[in-house]
Amino acid sequence: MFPYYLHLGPYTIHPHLFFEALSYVVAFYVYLKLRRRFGDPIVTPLRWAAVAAAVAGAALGAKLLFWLEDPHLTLENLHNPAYFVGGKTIVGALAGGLITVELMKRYIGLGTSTGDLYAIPLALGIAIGRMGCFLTGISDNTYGIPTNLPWGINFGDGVPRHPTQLYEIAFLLLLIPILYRTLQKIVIPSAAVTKRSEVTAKSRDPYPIKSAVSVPIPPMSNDEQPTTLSLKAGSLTPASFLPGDAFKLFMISYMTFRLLADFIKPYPRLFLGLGGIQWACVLTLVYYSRDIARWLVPKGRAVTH
Amino acid sequence: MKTLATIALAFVVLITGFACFWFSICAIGGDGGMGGTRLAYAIADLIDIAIMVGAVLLIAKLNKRVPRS
Repeated sequence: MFPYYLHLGPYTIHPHLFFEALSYVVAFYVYLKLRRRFGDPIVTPLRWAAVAAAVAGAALGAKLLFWLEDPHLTLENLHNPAYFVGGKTIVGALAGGLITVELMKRYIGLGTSTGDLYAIPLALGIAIGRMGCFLTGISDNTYGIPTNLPWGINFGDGVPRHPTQLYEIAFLLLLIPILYRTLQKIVIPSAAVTKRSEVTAKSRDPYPIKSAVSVPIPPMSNDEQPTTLSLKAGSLTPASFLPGDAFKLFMISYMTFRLLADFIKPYPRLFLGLGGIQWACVLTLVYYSRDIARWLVPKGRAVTH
Repeated sequence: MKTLATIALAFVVLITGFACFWFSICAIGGDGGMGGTRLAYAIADLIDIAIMVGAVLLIAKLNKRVPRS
């Protein structure tokens, strides 16, 4: 059965190619819809700069982590160009995209969170892409370890295995409504305030504070007047949902899922019983540790200095 | 003009980014290839990555803010 080729009219298409291409198209379409619905906190050229950085970082990170996933195998394949070009990992793509976007933001002087609108498209895109991984079967290397559970699937090697791709799809489909709810609770300044004409050449912040909010604001005293965009949004929303939180929630949820799910994948363990992808997940979770603490520690018990 | 240039370059990154994933599928022998050798796909991928990185650097340069003095 695997790989399960798709027959579209006269064409026979490899499932991975089809679903991967479909995931990009659907994710981009959903991103545009969300951008229209929730607005965009940054001006158009800076948004495209962030998108470009994310795409390039994802493409490079996906390959880089694949090479580090099994260093011994990488060393054995130094003469094999297909190995270097062929492999890629989603965790590497997410981590690479995160790093390059942060570098781009720092370079161009953008201090605003840019990732909220990516959270749902990423979750949906990965879920669709995983369908291609599942239908590709054993050659995709995304299957689980052997299992006697009734839903174990023979991917082509005669051994019933955990369908880890389907677990991941189910997880992501459950996560999407939570991300949407989070996105609704975050106040994203309207795109209307980010007209190019409002951006001065010398301004480090691309949108002036005076017009940064187009949503109803409760009256505030002069002392409460926020000085930054994030503070302004934070004053309108629960402390647990600040701009950037939808993306952070996606990253933390997905990395935690992968950290756990990869225990039932037959990947080589590099150090302390964890594989290369799991170590990348751990590092990403450490990067977000302050946000995890912010969500987990009740507001009243937070220690302030 | 800067906005247009940024959007055009971002589209270059999107296209080369997609090509990057496509080459990887071609290189491991999946469908979608056009009969090239794996080495040819590897070289094409390298050129593709170079274009992509160049476009991103140009975008960064174009959009760099002038810091307040």
